[in-house]
Amino acid sequence: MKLNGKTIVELHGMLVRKEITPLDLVQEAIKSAKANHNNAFELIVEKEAIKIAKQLTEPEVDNYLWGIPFVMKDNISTKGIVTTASSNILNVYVPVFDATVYRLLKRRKAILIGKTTMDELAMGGYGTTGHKGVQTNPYDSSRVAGGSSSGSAIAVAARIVPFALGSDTGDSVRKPAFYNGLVGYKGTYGAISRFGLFAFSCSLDHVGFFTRSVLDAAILFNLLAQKDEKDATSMKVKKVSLDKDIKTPTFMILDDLISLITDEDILKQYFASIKKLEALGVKVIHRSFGIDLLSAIYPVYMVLSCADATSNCAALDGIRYGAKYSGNTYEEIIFAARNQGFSSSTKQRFVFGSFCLMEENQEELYLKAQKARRLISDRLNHLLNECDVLYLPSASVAPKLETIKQPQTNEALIVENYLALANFNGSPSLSLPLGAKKGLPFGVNLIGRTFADEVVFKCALLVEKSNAFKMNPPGEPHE
Amino acid sequence: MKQLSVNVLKEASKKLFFAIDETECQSLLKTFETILQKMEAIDQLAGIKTALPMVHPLDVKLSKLRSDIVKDVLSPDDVLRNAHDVVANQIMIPKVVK
Repeated sequence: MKLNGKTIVELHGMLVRKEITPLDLVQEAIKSAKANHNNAFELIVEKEAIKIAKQLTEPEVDNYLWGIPFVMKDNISTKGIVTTASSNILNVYVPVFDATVYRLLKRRKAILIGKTTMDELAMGGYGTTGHKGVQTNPYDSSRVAGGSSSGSAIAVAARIVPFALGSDTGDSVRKPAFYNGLVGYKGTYGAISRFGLFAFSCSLDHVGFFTRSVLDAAILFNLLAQKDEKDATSMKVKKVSLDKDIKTPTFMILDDLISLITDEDILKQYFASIKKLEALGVKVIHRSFGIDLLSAIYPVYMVLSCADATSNCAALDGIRYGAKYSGNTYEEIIFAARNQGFSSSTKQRFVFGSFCLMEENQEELYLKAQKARRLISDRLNHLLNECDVLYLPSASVAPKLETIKQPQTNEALIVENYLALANFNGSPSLSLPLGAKKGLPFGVNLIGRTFADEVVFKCALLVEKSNAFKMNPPGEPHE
Repeated sequence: MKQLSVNVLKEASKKLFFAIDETECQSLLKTFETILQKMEAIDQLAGIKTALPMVHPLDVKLSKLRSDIVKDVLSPDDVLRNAHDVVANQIMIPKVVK
């Protein structure tokens, strides 16, 4: 077994006992990253990673991250390291400051070994729109990895590193976690600083991460959830302590949403997991969200996120930073940069966003979407007051690449986009593996009340314990 | 609401400083159609007319300003590091006023 296929906690134990060194981990990670066939990497920072690993000789017993290799999505700023968000318009862009999350990890002596591929500027759900081409699923290369944090998900699933950072605006960490058999987490909005994360849609954006276990995710949360003066939306939140269990946790099932999921194998496993949870003392209650509100999630997300992206990305003009484009006037330079620098799919999102922001359309589209977001969030908050977490399955395994452009039914749009609920109201949300179908992973997701990150982690630990499922490494058959 | 058409899309892309071709326009029109239909259906949601627009996910006050103390300042070199043409600590662009 690869060392980096272990959890952070397991590796920490081995490092502290001096059974392995940070250099062992970094060398293995770099070798695996170079051999990866799923197109997970924008860049491998080999020399720097090895240099840091060699300097780490005395293990820090109280520091789980000491000497642990990791990767980050390429929309998280790294001083002195090219950061492109998988967009041609940012080729050669070198940030002059570190994102707060990266600074915190460096301070704990975790070792960055690479920046990962993604959907261009985080706009996409499959890992197919970035400038380096398509990212494929490590469990089946004819299928998507899921996006937009595709490369980060692959790097953890392929046992290259034990954890990876991504970003989550609609489901971009938690959905790829489903497709790659991983734990994927985004905390309460504001808990983790967005300083240095390229803005897509500011009120929906979160930094999130992939791990192999719920405990590892809680460890990362406790490190990264720190109030940051550099992010005006950053907030102080309570550290997570998993020492005490919740007395009679209440899980909520949304019957109307579940009724739209058609994959019988996933549903069978999902209902079996509920029985196991009940056997552990979990109270399960059933409610309906309302199909009309669920149907609104997708259009509201598209309107708000595309409009925000159009505005946030206006600064990408090819003059202040990014690749150099030629022209006789500043308009010609900007046109050349943006015309050649953005992919077709990103341009289409910008045009849609711009249409929503046109004076004649603002009230009918943008404002209405903001109002609908309020109704959806109010409904979600109301339901969360009756339970500890919503407990919902993934709708499918990773789809085949050739199917992703096919039109989706209303039902499919609902079940494939419901994770955005937690972006609308800023709830903590965690995906974890539930099972595998023909070697392809699927998962469940938990959504909790805002600022109740600890409750979500505790409930997720129960699921992990009762279900006792772990994906095998890609290439190894599953029972 | 502005009527959706190929011309409207092309006009929008021009303002965004890029071009979109006919195929992209047709693809966009299809996507728009689906989303706009769903946006229309939102009119039927109970309370939509009176709902307050939501611009932040949390109902918390974020009015506290940080102390006005200068720290962590980028050096002029860092600020200009990614610019292609720099003259006298200023980013050079082609002449704007002709």
